[in-house]
Amino acid sequence: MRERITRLRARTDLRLHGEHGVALVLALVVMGSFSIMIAGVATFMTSNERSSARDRDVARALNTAEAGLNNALAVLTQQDSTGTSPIGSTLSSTSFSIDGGSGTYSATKTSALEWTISATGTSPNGSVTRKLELKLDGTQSTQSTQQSPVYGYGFFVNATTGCTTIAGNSPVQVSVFVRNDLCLTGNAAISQPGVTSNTLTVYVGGKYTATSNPYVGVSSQRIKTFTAVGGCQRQSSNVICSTPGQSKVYSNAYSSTPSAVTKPTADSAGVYASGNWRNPVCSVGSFTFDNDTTLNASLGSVDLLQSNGRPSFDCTVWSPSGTTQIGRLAWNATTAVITISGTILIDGGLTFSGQSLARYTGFGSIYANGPVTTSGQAAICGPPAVPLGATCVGNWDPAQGALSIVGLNGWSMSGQSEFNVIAYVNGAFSATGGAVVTGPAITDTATLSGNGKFATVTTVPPGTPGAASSVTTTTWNVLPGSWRQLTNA
Amino acid sequence: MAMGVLAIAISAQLAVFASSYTSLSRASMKGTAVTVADKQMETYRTLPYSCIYLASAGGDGTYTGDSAYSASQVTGSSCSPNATPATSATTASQTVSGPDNRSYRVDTYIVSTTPTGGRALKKVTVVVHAVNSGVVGNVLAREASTFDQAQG
Repeated sequence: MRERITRLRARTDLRLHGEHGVALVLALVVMGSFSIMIAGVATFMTSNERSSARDRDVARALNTAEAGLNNALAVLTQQDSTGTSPIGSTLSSTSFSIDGGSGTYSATKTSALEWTISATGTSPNGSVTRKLELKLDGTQSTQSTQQSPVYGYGFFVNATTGCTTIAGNSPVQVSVFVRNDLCLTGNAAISQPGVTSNTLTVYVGGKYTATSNPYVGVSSQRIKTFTAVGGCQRQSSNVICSTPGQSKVYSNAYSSTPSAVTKPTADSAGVYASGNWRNPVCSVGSFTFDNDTTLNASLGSVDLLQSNGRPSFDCTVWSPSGTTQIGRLAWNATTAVITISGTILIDGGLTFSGQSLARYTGFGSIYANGPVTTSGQAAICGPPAVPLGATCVGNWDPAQGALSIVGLNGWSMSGQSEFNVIAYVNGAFSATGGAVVTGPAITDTATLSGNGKFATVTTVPPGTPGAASSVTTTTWNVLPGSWRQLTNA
Repeated sequence: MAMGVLAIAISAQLAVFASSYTSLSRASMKGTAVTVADKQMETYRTLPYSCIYLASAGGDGTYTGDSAYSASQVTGSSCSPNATPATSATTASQTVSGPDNRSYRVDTYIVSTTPTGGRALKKVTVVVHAVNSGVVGNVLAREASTFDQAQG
């Protein structure tokens, strides 16, 4: 029994100390370890790939959202360019895409000059979305332009060559400014009105020439200043301006110093671009300001009142966007009253024929893209004057209402007409017979042979070239420090 | 038998390591390319609006073959009174060295675009290509955004 146990123990010991098959077990263990390692590497590799791809998507989503903010900036600075949109206004959510990415932007006006913009951007594969916010701040500045000094003269001629001729028997009783020569002939004169003295200014950029019996001021009523840069000539002989006995110029002061004052420019293209002239909004009747979409004098000549036979109308012209009123022109055929406000443009000449008799109310200007002509017995009277025949009864008070007529291609008056308006003329101004403009006449060249009767105005109506203006400009900029990234809801 | 099993295991291990190396390397390049693209895009965010332009709009076939290319790109030579931008901001196509010391080609496209109801914007697209032994490879990263004057 003991021997059997001893043999069994010896056999067991032998087996336990044997190494057959150990290599296979070891190989299986190593392979298992390798498998775990491979799985780990694969997991890491996949994770790294995913992370790298996400980095790219995050960058693209962020840049897309940035593009959304900038798109909103571009839109808001146009839609609220004046900063006048009310608080609470919104820019509705707008979709956009850029380089495969997509997004939306929207905005709300949070204060008088501040917009809060938010934008989202999504990567091209749609896996990442980013949301950004930004504030847009506005600053306003106002630039005021004073009224052109030319309106301080009743008669202003801008030409620098040739001679501005004044003939006729009635004296001109306003301040005169001509940049070229001034030629007075016959019994023409420039004199103080009524019993006044020392108020008028006469400026001649060239030479003052008097032929026959003209005079400037009289010894008992001298004008304030007389300037003749090129000297004086009387009866074809040079004379000393400041010696009234020779020149017949009676002034309290004499000068030969040139002036830099020039005629203001009429921005007809700008006025045309400012309004939708082809489609006025008329509450009464109709009126054609333009029949196409080009400033080309396509209407020919427009008889504004048709000798008071034109039917009543009340038309307003708005800006092309329809948000701003540019001007209103109305005619009441029953009461013979013209109502004007703002700026009006007629793409053609302007005629006042025969018995065109009216008074006007309001302040405004009418641009005529063609010649302005008057004839016969026309009368346009400013408040409080009223027409009676071919004249205006009462004295026009420009403070109660003023009308500027801007003739873009000359101005010709004949007959016995009277116009209580401010005449601004590109080209030649001609007044013959008894025709008179009682406001200032600002022109390139002029010929007066009738009863020149001009007046100055303190304030010219809006829209008149050289009128005083005040322009408020709003500048929009991103508020520093307002950029932030929001959590995705 | 054991040697056979070991041989298979080690072969598989080597294959996995090799492909892992390639994959990691490529992911690393893509990550670096995104950084390079970000850097280029951020350059434009520091510039005044008027200084965002290219000195020359042309390029080789790779450049003109991208979808962002337009024959009418925004070009210029100065943005007075602002300081002239760095050459890297105005160069349409350039090869740069990344933080990993590899070479990357950065193509930049700048075109004018106008959103509905808005004013003109400048749209900048940056495309980064791999460069292997001087040969321009695939696109690794691309970014696009717009710039408005109100940004400065």
